[in-house]
Amino acid sequence: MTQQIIAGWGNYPRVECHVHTPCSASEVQAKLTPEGTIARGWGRSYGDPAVNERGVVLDLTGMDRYLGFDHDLALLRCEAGVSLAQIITDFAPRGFFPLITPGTKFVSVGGCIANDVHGKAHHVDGCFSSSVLSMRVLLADGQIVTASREENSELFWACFGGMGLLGIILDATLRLRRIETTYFRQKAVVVRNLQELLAAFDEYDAQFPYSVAWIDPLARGEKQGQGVLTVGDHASLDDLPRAKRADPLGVSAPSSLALPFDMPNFSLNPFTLRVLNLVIHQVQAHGAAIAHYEKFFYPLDAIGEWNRGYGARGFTQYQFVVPLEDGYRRIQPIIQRIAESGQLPFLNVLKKLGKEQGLLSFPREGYTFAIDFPIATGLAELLAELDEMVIDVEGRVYLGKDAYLSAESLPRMYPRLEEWRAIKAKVDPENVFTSNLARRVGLAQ
Amino acid sequence: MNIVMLGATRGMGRALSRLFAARGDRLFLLGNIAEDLQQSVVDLQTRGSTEVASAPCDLLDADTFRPALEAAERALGRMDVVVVSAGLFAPQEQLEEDYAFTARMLQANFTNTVLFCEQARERILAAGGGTLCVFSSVAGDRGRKPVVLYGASKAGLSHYLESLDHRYRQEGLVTVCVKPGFVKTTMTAGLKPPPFAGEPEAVAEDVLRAIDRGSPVVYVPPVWSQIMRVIRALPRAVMRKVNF
Repeated sequence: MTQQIIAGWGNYPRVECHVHTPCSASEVQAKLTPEGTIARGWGRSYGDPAVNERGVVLDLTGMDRYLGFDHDLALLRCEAGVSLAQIITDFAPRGFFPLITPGTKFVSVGGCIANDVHGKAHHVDGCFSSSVLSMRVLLADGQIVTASREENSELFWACFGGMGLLGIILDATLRLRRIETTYFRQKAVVVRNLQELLAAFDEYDAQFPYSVAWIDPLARGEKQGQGVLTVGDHASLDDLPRAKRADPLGVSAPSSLALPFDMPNFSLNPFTLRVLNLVIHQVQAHGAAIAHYEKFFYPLDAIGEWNRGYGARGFTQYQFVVPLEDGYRRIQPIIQRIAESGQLPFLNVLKKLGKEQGLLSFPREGYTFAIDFPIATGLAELLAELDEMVIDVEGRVYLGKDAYLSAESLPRMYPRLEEWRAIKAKVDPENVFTSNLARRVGLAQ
Repeated sequence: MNIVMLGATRGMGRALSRLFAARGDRLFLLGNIAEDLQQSVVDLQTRGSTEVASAPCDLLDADTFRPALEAAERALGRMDVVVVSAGLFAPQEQLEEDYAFTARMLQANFTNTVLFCEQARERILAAGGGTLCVFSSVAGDRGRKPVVLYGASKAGLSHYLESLDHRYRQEGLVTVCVKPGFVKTTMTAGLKPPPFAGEPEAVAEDVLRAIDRGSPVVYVPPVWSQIMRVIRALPRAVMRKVNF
């Protein structure tokens, strides 16, 4: 056991933990201690769900084995540390793709379950839980149980969005998507303001399963919400231009670009932000009609460790969702407050979400908005204010991104929290599984 | 080719087994935890390997070596390459405090690895030749403060492997001694990676090339060959002062 200072993707907070890296289920079982443990995957949760101050963190990226593949049923069983990137590399050439993917492919299957991640087609496909048939979970008492919709179904549903606090997910059986090509048909729509944007979502929803909008966070007044909506769908073989048909299931080489150092803190200021946002606008609005999955799903993965661009101070992402009905009235004041806050919002993404699933899953039917903020004086106060605004319009924030939410606010955002807590009390009464996030928002002691 | 591997369930061995599988080699895995071994077999099958099987073998129990190698030979017909990447490790401070683990580490890394190699040697030579690829360490290259005990076990092993290569290469037994510097695996987990730390996947590529070429010694990542050349040349007075 050794001490290490680790953090989430936002590099905030940085926390000293005892880190182990078991690479099989039997090693995980051997490392289980009652002193407080949390599992960690590829460290893409932004805040503190996968850090555990003075406690144990089990880095499971060494659990990267496939445990079976049924070609006819498109079912893959794999260990929890397998990343979506690995699945794509190994299975896209055979015509399969993860059914659900978030905006980065460098996430573990265990992390996808614990955060119940969603993608650009949530309103059609649902959360990651839609793709999971079953999983094996190591419980606090050392037992390994199988959980599925039929078996231990209470535990199964509580694990989605459960932030790894009910047990250690050892492996899972996933349904993959059959694909003809690794390309997407995409279309970009420039919108002049928030009302146009929400209308565009409604219009294109029916035609394209994938949709996401980038908006200019600094635009105010009539221009508030100006941006680009990108919609798309899997390209069939016939959709591809002749040149690409020779290798329709191509997988790209690993990213070669990387930010090797933290950028100086002054590199993000209102001026650079304007320029960056203009560039993004240009790129988004002039995307090609046929795009490779790397560009379509993972534009930021092309720059390895882009999180270091925020400097050593780190950053957080504030992602919230508000109900669909009367969406404009609910979301507009929050976006306006952010634009007027004096903080430096960057990378603003708006999406429409579909139906609710797990007990603590973030998505619910409505509009979700995500904004990155560099850590700065006054940010905590702003986020607390935004939490109240979000609660007032019956919204919630995403724990997988969060680093600031209070224990008082959580129950007002997640109405099924008590159900989840009852399950936690049953399977882990001694709080063997805990994390900084768990203690901060009151999911565990 | 027909490959036998002891230590393919984890780290560099796991990465190497995937490269063998990817190019269609036939694999036979040896290991001491049945479930773990089976999971590695399935992993390789899922990656497209059509011929992969396993048998129990515990590096800490020399009595298991003969039945394990017999099972491998029975399954494969002949063994072209035998790879040993299993071994034990702990930082020096921990070893000094844990006499029992130190005894196991020395037993596994030197005595039993040599005994396993001796049995593999006999079988490979009897079948007309082949390659024995064993993971030693840069820790065996020079007496150094942070690796007094672990380094001693690997120094003995490296010495044995070098002699073996001199003695039997002409008769058809090629010995490949792999000397990893710092590679990010479970074994080194928690240690602060130095500037030249390698990833197991990249290291496996280098090891595979060394096996194909029959290189007697391979440092991985390759930069460690230069680093160790310098460290071997340093005077004792300097080694006594520095902490690496």
